[in-house]
Amino acid sequence: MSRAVDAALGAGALALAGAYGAMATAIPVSMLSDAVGPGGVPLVVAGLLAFGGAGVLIKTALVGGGTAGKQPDHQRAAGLFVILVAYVVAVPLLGYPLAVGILAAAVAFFAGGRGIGIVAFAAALAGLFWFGFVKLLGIPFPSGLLFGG
Amino acid sequence: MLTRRHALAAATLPLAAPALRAQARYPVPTVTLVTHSSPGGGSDIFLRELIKHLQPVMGTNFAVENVRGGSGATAVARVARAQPNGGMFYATTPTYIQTTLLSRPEFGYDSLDPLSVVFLDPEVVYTRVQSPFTTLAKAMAAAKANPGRQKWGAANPASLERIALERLNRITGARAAVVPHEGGGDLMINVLNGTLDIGIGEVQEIRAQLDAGRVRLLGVLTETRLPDFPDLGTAREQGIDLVVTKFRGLAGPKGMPDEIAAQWSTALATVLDSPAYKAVFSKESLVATPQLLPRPAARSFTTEFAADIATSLRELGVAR
Amino acid sequence: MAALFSGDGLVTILFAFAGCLWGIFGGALPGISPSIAMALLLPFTYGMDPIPAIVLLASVYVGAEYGGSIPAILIRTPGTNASAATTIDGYEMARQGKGGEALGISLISGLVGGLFGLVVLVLATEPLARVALAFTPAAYFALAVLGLSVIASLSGGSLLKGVIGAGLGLMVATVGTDPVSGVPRFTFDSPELLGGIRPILVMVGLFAVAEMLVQIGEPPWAKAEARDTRLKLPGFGMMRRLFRAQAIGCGIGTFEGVTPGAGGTVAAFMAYNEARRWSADPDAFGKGSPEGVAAPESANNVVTATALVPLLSLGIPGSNSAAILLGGFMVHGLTPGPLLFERAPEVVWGLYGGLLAANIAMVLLGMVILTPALWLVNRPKPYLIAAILCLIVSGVFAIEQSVFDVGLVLGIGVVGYLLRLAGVPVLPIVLGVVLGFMLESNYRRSLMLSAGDHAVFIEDPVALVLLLLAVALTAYSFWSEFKRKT
Repeated sequence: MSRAVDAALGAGALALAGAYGAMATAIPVSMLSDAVGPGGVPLVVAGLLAFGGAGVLIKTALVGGGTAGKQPDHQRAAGLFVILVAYVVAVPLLGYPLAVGILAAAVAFFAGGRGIGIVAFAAALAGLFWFGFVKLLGIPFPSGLLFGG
Repeated sequence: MLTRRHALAAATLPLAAPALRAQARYPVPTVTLVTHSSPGGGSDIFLRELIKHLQPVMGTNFAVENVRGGSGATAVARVARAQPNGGMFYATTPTYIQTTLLSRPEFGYDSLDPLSVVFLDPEVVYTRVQSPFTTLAKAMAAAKANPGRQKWGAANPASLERIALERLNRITGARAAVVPHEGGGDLMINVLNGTLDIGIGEVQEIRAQLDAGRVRLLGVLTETRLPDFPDLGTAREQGIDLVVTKFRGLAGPKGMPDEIAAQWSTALATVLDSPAYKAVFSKESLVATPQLLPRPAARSFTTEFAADIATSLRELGVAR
Repeated sequence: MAALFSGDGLVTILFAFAGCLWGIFGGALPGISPSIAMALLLPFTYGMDPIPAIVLLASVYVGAEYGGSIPAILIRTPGTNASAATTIDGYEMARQGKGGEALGISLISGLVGGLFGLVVLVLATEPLARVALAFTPAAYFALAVLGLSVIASLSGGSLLKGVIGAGLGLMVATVGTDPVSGVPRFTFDSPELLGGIRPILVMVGLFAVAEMLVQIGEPPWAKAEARDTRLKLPGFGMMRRLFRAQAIGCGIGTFEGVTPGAGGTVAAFMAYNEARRWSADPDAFGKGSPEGVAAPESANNVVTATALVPLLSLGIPGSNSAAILLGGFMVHGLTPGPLLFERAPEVVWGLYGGLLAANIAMVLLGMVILTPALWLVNRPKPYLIAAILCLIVSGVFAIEQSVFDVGLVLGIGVVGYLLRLAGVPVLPIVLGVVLGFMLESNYRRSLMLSAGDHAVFIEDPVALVLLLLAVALTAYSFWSEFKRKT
């Protein structure tokens, strides 16, 4: 397992370094530029990344991977991520107080909370956050398209 | 560069402000002025000071909203989408034009309609007191005599000041290194410790060091001398054909009725003429531009200004 | 109205308390940085007298730099950039049930740092201002290299993975407007990226979001686990143990605070690293070492005072927070700079007094609010995770009112999760993000000034000393690592 992960990391770093380096060379050079240029330092960084990636690959091939750590539950992590992305999509539509309340309820439920407590918790949290961020701090959170904001 | 406008020549025309006091009521109860500057930043302080004096004249309430992000693009987008009923304006500076040219956001400077240009911010060239240069002419003569040896500093990359120094290089053939910094403070350190031969900036940025006698002004890049510094020669007077002007103004969503625009220009003229406000802005060395207050004048000023920057940025290869 | 806010000492102390309280709350909210917390109050100071106004703003700064460490310790969410180093051992202590003790250590170390910084500010402003002026671009570059050299010893097990981490961090730092030519780089034509990616977004994503993604898959904490439910201030024995770490924090914080642009984040990481190097028990670092909390906490609180040196004596703000304070001065017609001490000595002394009051307020307020904070994080896990995530998405939005930023943080969180699987250490990434811009812009600036001659980095005495120091410390790290393995 760990060996595969290390190999993936090394390959990923190499691929990223390549893409990033290619983008760096494509940055248009302007008259205002210096000798190093806007792409100069990024190319060095790409080199550094490639060096790290190649090093990890070589080490994996020669020595093998390190010890495998405890694996988190990927499915549940992905589930949580989906909920969070849904919030980002929904907040301009539903408005901040409603969206954050639903987010609180959804996460609490997903994390194993049950019962009427979730609704009370979500309502209280949405109210508190709305008061704190919107009223107290005066930050213009989206009020939602659905409600004519 | 942003010159040829002979802007200040018109300043001597008599102001008709007090005669027009009898104007219609302003259509909305609260006007929101949006700035991309954070609280305490240049535009923010400018707006908050301005509304103190505008409120009694226009008889309406004002609020300042700081919409940061996207180098001004977010604030422009917010105002561009607002109702054109005089309820929301954007505080313009050259930044909103530059952001448009550099990153082509969905809502650019041309998605707003300029309302008024209120002030020009003069740019000065300065050095530390230990420096051998006492005037811009002397500094440039030395730069010409030793091409490629001088070091000049501007506050930000691709800023108006940076472009001005590059032009100075072309005019004088000095081939000086033009080094951009991260804001005026950074630049000041390198002028004070002698790393740079000259720096360029607005008067209020260098005021503290100027008052303490640690920096010396070499020249001002305006058409005429500044009232605060009557002894300071302009670049033109010193034989260098370079004029740079930053501006501060207001712009609103497109489609706003002419009556509202007219109300603004009379109100702003009244405020600019009031001794209380004069005391405030002259302390910052801002130059009032009464002739650019009416909307048509502000429009053509902005168009010309944008065309000018676009040409500069393209010549320098920064923007496409 | 103005009479109510007269320069009366008692009123000023009241404002110091109010500012500190506001700052602690602001700092504790991820996304509300010290400068934003100050900016939000700035408009209210316009109508006040100068001394209370400036004390209020400075106290917010003190409170916020401290407040950031509360969520850093309790929920692995650095509330401010500078508190990122505190998450390492602070959160580890909290996981071991010693959250109350960690909070106590951070509070008292913060006080030690704040008071030390204040003494330095009062006694040594003039000589320290000269230090700030001695920093040329080459010296700044060297300072950034010194900061990055910490990576050699903070990479955990694998240096190669540390290099990958540093590369990723530096990569993020290059996004935005090119510091020299002004062309947009790696922005994909999006104006949101024109100003670059804020370090706090990377930190919240890597630390907090990634932690939540891991936590969601783990079983609820056992009820029986003994966890601190009350704030526990360090006793005499503990203070003796922490003395060295705090002294290191104070020294590094003084130096980093004075040089504009370096700031509390780098100070905290360097203090952490040096405290580990000189500790009697370096192996405990990363596993919940009290010294690992004390060193960065005292360092970043020293910075709250010494960062005022360039502002007060030169009129040059070294950080966003100092820039807002500068705005506060300007609004009242005061110009910080060489003449401030002559023209308005009462304001300077009022500010010093206010800072003292703010530091005392920090401890008193901390003693009141930290126990409830511990109670809050001891709630059942589903609710805690939900509340933390709501806090993150709200706080991040608040920075720039940008939904884009929220999405970005979530994306960084996923990357952080994957990197954690792959065993890539987080700290080099954070350091790369924090230092990348300073490193690149000053490197290129130096070369422009020297017409492309790299000798500038060894001809500048300050740069030379810092670079040699970086080499020496890195070599020493490798040597002790080598010795430990054999």
